[in-house]
Amino acid sequence: MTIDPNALGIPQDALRRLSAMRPGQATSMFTSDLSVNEFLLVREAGFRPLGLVFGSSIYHVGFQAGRWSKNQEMTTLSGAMYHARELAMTRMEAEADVLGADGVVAVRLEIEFKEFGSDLAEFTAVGTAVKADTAAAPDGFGWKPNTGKPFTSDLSGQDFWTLLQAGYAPLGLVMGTCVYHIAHQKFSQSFSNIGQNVEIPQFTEALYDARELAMSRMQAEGEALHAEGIVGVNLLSLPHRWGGHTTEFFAVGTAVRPLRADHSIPTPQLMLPLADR
Amino acid sequence: MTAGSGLPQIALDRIARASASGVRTSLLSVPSAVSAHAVGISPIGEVMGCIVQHIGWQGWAGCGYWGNGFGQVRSTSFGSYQPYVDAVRHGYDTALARLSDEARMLGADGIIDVRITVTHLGRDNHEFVALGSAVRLGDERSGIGNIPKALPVPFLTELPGADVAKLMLHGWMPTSIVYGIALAIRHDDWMTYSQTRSWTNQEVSGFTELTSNVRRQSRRIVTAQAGQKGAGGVLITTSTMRVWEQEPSDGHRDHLAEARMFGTGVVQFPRPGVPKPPRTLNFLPLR
Repeated sequence: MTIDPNALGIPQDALRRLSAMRPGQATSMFTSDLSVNEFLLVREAGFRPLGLVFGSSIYHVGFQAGRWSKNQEMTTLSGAMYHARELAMTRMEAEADVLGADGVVAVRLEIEFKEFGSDLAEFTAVGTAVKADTAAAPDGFGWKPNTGKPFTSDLSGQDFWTLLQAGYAPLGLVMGTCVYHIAHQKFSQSFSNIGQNVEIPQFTEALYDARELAMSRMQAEGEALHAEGIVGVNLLSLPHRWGGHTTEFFAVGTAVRPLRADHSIPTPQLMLPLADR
Repeated sequence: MTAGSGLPQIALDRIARASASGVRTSLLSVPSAVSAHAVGISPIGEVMGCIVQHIGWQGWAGCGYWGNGFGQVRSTSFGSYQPYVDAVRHGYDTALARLSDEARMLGADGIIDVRITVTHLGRDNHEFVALGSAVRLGDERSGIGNIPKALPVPFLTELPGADVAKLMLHGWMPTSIVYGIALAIRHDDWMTYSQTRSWTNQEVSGFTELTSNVRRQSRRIVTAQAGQKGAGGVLITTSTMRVWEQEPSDGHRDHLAEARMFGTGVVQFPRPGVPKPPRTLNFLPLR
């Protein structure tokens, strides 16, 4: 599948600029927000940076009324958080596709609630588009996943290098989200708990429920990519601006596939650093 | 030496004294200085460039709405705030040029670990300061590859000594500090209005377009500038975005977005006779 950049609202001049940056042309020049360490390691891993790519979506994320005393997922808000992140990711992938990239490394997926409007948040995905020196990965397949789009990964350049050394390749950034409303305690219940150390079962249940939903959705995205596993997973609780009882649980990681049968790396040498950090 | 440099007498005196006495100062940290030394870079003096500038006229060419047939789309116009963007660029450019002048008078090849700060002094006055450590290249300078015996323009980088050393060991050289600043405005039309007040959660396409446009614009400027300076790539070090609203008249609201991107241009150079650096080793730090 190829991405039609025109359908995603990327201005024409951006496309022309990106097309001009295709490697092998006279004007080839890369931009990247990798650190020097990351830049050199990504090159040593056999990839060349092509350009800084980003996607953005400013989204109106309003409120959804939840029942005061009921544990429930706020499906409308979950959907909105998913959709906005997908928009940012897809636009970033489209930029990378125009550059002719095999993948995007060191992706940062961020949300910033804006001061200039109520309930407005900017979702951004920023990364460095890279192209492999070899057309095929060591397992004989291409570098792109089964979607045909460039692979994406939120691993740092260092982790990316280590992953490839160990015989794995990233397939895609996978995520799962669940915005959950945690029920308030009934008055009689909070009254009976006064002076006691007890578990509050409906709170435990709610947090379990929400995290499990987020993780299983991430897992489903990994399965769709035929991944062997997901590495570098972060499981975040993001309160955003919905008050104390409504929280987003967000699981994000990089789905990987094996490149070879053994995954041994040379035993690291021990080193005593002469710096205090 | 002093012609056209625009440096005040006190700066000229300091530089003259430093270059006569040969005292060597720098702003480098110990790891930064040691690793720079490993590739033959030696610090010769700390240098500064500074300008206080009054930015009183931002430019105004409307919000791009009226000439657009009152249509909803593509109402951003980049031309309108050019006086402001030019003024800010002038601030950075002058600070960096004065920094380079001090370094050149010391006989430096380049300036590393450059720190740029902008302080708002009130009443539309802004101070732009660039601080850095002027350095000379050692063996690297004496004719290896494409590096001439003396650099006509000092190379500039925000990267600390360790990063410069790593780049040089792998055949890359920092060339210059490049940056892009872009500012755009967008009128809040009925579409923006309805999207932000809707009962359903949805994308506010006008604002997305505004911020995406300024980011792309600043990336385009960075790339073009680096290309002009002969760099083969840019390592972006900072990237910021600011969005705010203004209400020029009753019931008329616009949003503005400003993106700034700073980075170091790098260029690859052949290193005949220099052995390739060893492949990265696996270490486990004990701490």
